[in-house]
Amino acid sequence: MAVDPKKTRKVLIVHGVQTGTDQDLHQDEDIRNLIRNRLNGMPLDFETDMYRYEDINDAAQERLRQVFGLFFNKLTAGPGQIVDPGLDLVLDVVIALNNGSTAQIIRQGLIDKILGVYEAGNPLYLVAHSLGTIYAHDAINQLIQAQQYFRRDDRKTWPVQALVTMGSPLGLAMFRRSSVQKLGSGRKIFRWVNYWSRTDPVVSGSFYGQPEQGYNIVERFRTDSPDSGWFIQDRVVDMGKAWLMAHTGYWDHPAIGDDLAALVAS
Amino acid sequence: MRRRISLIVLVLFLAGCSHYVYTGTITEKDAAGRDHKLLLYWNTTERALWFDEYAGGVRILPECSLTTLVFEEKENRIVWEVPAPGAPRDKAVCGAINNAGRIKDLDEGPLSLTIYCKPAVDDEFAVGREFSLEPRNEPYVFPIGKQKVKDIETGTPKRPECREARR
Repeated sequence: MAVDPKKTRKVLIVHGVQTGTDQDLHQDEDIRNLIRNRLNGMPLDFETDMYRYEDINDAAQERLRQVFGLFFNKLTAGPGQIVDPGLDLVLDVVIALNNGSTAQIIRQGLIDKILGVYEAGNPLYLVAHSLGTIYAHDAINQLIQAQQYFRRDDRKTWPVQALVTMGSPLGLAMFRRSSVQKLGSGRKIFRWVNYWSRTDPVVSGSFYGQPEQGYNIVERFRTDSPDSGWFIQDRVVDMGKAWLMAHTGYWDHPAIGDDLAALVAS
Repeated sequence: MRRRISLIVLVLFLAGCSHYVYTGTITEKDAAGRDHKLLLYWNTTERALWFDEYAGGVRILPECSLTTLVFEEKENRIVWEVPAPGAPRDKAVCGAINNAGRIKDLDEGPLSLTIYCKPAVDDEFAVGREFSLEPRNEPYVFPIGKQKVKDIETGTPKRPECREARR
């Protein structure tokens, strides 16, 4: 199956750490509204969809929660209500860090979703947030490594046309990612744009953010090899917010909307 | 506990901020001789203390095209980087802002930028009309105004409405 550039562009959202369940997740609507708003009447045939994996995480967490169960079950309702969502978030990260069977299930589910769109022939653009950027990065690199996709000079063989990451912890040593798979020799270029806010603690790992200029997050993933085939760019955004509000502010940032419209149209 | 709460309140107070959007518009012709308005904008957040460092790129949005030119800070320059097959790291600098090396040092008034090259376009996948400023020795000059806004989401202007669509 080959991608048909004339078909509707698909923007697939991969969420990050979440509380709640899959039913509670609607960031695909946020991105759809953001792009439409920033188009200001310009025509662009696109749709958004979402890869939801919070239920997979929650099912895996049950086993982990049993370890903590004796302790947390003894909490009163008040602190328990605060602690439980926090525990949900922490355990999401633990699952990703562990890279065990649950993380592999999540990753494979994302790959299956991507290949479903590919088989339908729609050009696909992947937009991932927070922890979801880890799975998105891994899924694309796994597909490149498989060698049956991503012939460098034929974008019709690319299951993903470009990657956008937002609020990504990929720069943190704890996630142990530092490279991308080479596409081989050729002229076409795979674009990866990574948005980050200086006041986003998930990006820097620092409660106080990272004010220094020249902070290199994922641009360092690309080597100097001419066979790489990746264009990787870190783009800082002024969120106007701090801390966790900065971490969730990407979904309606106008500059990101403008860039997404341009990317999906190319 | 009281010290901890006081610290949290103090930090929240210091994090109080003002949002500003800088904008400027010029009109240029494309290769077919059609006029395109071009909107240039960036936003800043000023905080009483803590981060006085700017964050955010300068963008140019042309009329009747979905192209976006993004100027980012790189090594004390504000540049427009584009994919460039065969160039080091498949990247080339096709433009630069001349007024300053840091976006936080840009201000109201004339903003001068120079365009050196145009990015390659993948015609097979491109939707709509590509538009880019023509490379030339003479800089483009945008008259920049500054406006305080309530928030970035609603205060940032959109790309100029395509006048051709209205005919």
